[in-house]
Amino acid sequence: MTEFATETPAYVKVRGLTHHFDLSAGMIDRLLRRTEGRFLRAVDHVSFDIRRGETFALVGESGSGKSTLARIMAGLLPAESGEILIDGHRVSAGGTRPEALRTAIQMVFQDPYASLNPRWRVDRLVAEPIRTLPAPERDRRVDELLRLVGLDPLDKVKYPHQFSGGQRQRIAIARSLAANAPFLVCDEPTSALDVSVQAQILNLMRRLQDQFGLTYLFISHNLAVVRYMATEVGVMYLGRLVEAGPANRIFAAPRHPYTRMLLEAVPGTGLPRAEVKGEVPSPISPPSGCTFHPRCPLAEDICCREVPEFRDGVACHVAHHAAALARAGYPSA
Amino acid sequence: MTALPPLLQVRDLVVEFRTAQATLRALDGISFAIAPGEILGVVGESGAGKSLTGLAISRLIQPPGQIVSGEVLLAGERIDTLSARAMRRVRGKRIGMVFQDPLTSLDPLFPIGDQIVETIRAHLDMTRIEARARAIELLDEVGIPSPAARINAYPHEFSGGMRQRVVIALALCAEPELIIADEPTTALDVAVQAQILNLLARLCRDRGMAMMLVTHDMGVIAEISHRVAVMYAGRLVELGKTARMAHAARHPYAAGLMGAIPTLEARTEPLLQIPGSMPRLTAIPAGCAFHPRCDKAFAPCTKVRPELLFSAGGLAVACHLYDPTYQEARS
Repeated sequence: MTEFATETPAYVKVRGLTHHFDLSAGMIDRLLRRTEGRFLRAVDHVSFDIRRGETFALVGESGSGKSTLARIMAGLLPAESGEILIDGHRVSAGGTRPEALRTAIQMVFQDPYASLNPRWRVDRLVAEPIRTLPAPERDRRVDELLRLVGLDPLDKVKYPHQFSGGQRQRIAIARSLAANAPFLVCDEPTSALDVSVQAQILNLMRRLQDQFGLTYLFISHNLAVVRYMATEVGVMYLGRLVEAGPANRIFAAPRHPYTRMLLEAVPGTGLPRAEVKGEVPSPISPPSGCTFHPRCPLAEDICCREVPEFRDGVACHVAHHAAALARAGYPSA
Repeated sequence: MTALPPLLQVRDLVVEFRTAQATLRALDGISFAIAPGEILGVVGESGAGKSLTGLAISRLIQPPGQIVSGEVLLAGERIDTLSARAMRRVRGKRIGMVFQDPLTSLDPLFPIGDQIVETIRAHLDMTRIEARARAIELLDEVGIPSPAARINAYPHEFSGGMRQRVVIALALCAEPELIIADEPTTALDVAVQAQILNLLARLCRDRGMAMMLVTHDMGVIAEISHRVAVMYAGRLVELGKTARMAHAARHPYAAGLMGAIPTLEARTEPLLQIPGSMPRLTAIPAGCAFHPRCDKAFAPCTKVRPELLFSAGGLAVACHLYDPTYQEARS
């Protein structure tokens, strides 16, 4: 069984997406001091599929590359290599995109205080993606969008500072829906919000998904939020996808030791846990082989030498042998 | 735990911010107690007054904020009436503090060892050499690997999790009786957060230290605290046992807050939603501050302010639903 063998064809396909940040010194410095170039591999050969109307959630600790991936998907950063296909159309992973594709992918950011221009009124903010429509039609659409996200159409003459954080995130969501974008990239959309407001926004996002068949790429470090939103989950560690699969399977029977560590570390579950070792190493000089091996309770010799390939939804030398995983006490899927 | 006399007692604490335009009541009649060795979690949404409660106890409120009335007792003695000088000795010596961002608690220009030695010598009668040995012991206790070598490192040479351990070591310097930890793990990743929480719980257990843990993350509270205080709009609405709180909170706001938190269990039904948002301090509703958002509100809620009704074991709720005086009005 492979994770990608499904009846419905994938709506979003990502293949071998890679992005490096160049942290080298300037060229003259490099020549004079004979230093090597330094690269941070923020996203390293990441591939996954998302089916139409579903939510693919990316989880991982800070520095795992989730947000960089989100920005590449939304076209805010060029990728170095790899390809993105949306509904069968190739989207340039690097460089600029045609207008039609840009409006098909919209992004909801973490901080609604920063993502809305403070000098624009709500009607202008929400109507920005549809500014080419004739004015009466545009106004009608803005009213409709505001009602959809639970705001009063009369609020459209106000400015962002007159709203609370949750209301601002509603405005940002209304804007992302303005041009009927079928695919939303949501980067930590509720991390800046209080729990009661978070519940309102998560419920709203699920309702809109059911209503319009939206497809989400949902980035979050909060596993409980991911559990509530996701149909599929991808786990990232130091730029690589280490495990991916249906949310039910990942939460019930994680196969990668890192996924298991993340799940056990969630506070307040009352589950027994193994003591977590260490912290995420620097992505500039990651450990050899499997980058998780210094923290891994199951690490073997091969893990320090060879990079595990991503096979059957997991990139782990040990997890590739079901028997070895069972010996380590992992539940079977 | 309840048999021991309380280490910290807060009685009817009121904090106001007096500005030229208006007087804003940021904390309104806060009362609770913490026993030695106990961890009390304080939860609430932004602006509920959780952090301010911690600052009021340690008398770190900046003007125009001030304590208007109420009492704070540490081991039976009032500390809210102490002079600024005497209070400075209590802070650090008897009350240790851990804040969210470890970088604000550490001076970037000095090695961490110097900062710990200085703090130890400010509160305890020790020579520089003794203090240094003590600093290494403390760093070891909070789980810094090879402490003798790391003691000369600067704050920027540590990762976020390690820095927070240094700050905890700093707070433990003078063996305080009470630790006030304000969002100690909010800036950390989940795996590191688990390490820090285990460390704090172990220190309280081993040293018999009491802790007031302020956080907006109910998971963190459920992990290590014994009792939970839920705050809303500057008031304490419920004090309950942690184990009971998640599924059987009594105050409608506390119950709504718990129901709004997603869990790791699979679920298809939507999360519980409380309509609206917390009022601003300039517009606290009359009566119960929560009544406009409460689906159980009845006549007295709009007029009479509910007082904290204490029951055995230091539990309390501030809601007319549980007040015998209004039982008839409801039925």
